Amino acid sequence: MLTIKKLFFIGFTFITLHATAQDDLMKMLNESGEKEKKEEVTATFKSTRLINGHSVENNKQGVLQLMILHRFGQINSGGYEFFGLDNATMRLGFDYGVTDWLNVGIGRSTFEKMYDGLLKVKLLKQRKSGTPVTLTAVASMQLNSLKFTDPQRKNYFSSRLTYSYQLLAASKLSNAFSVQLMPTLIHRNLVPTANEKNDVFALGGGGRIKISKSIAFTAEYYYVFPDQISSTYKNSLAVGFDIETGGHVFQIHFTNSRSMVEKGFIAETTGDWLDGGIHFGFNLNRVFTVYYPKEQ
Amino acid sequence: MKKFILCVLMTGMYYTQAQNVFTTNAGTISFFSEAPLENIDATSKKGHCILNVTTGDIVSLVAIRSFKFEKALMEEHFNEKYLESDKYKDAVYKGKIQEPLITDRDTSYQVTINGNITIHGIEKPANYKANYSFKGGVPAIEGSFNVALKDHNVEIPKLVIQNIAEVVKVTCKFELAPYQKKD
Repeated sequence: MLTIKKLFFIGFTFITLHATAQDDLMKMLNESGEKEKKEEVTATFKSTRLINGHSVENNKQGVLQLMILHRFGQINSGGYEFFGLDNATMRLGFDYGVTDWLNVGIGRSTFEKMYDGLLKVKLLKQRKSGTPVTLTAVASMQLNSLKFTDPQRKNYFSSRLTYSYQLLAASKLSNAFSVQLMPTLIHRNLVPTANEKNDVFALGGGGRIKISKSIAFTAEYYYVFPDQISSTYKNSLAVGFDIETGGHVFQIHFTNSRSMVEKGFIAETTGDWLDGGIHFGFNLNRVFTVYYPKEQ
Repeated sequence: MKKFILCVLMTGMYYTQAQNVFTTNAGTISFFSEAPLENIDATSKKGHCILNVTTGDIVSLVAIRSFKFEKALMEEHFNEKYLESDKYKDAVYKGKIQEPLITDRDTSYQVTINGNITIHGIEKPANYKANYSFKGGVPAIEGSFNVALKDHNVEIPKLVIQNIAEVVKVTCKFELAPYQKKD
């Protein structure tokens, strides 16, 4: 005897079978599909530089990044200097993605006739679930090639060199908002006076807020721990915009630092924001894919 | 009697799943954008497709992230700026093949698929012509169609309008195998 219950059961089974249309296929598809791996977070920042300093971003393997960076004179230098625009310094640089996790770079700045080289290693990648931060380490070396100020005394080549080591930790908190911390050590082989330390420890902080898909507001600040550098130097503060157009990223900003290498903008910033000691500047980034990695 | 009905039903269900349904998660889906300044193409080899050859129902799905570009930055922008793959993970097509599907001999013919495509979170009716073939006991579906970016609210900034086509050509190829339920 068929009870109501059994009828329901049979009826229900038929309904289930009948529904084996697209939605059930969809379900079957999801079941047979591979379980999704923990996705990596990408595009924490638009460029490999936050403003003056590095961001956690690396160029991918085979990508060559050309950087043309300008910092003009101080805005408070007045109309005669066209508010600093008469007085530009620049850095020309190349960064290259040897692998996705290793970048190498070289650069030359007009300021102090500086050569620099860098190694940038991605240590950890932020993931959608799990790893909350991306970690990148940057080591760079700067060579000041100005003539020695006192050729009479014994000058060493090593006196020209400075080094900087940074650990960058960034987190993309939302699609629009990323933050970054930058503990930094700068080592100077030669310092002007005995009161200034050869090793300078600093902590940087920065971030970006996307205003639109192509434009982001950025800020960056480096705090130098006390009693390491001459008191005439200020902490570096920069604010700006990233404007991305396909293969280019334009970064325009205002900063109290003139130098575009770490030892300069972190340990030798002279401008004072409150005084109008601000430099207008821009970074022009263009990437070229020079080598196409084989598909995995 | 009860057991008999159950048996029939179970067999029916088993039959539906084992014999009539074919699937793959390694289909090839690529797209091509032809614009004055540059051509862009990208390919995913992780196209999922499932087809019921009895009813003609077909569902296909591909993770936006699985598309690989020649230029790494393009891939990043594709995900970050245009398709917003964080929010809209997959592109999905659900449809029904209008013609009966031959499965008892090797064959190849054109079919019409009526259905809906969802890209960038926007679902649109989409009827396509495709090629259906059956060879060596398994079916395959192959076809290409055009997708207009504005249909799916994919905005192209004016700055790069010369770099990205407004209509991209999508090509799919699925070689299917019998569906097996995973434990």
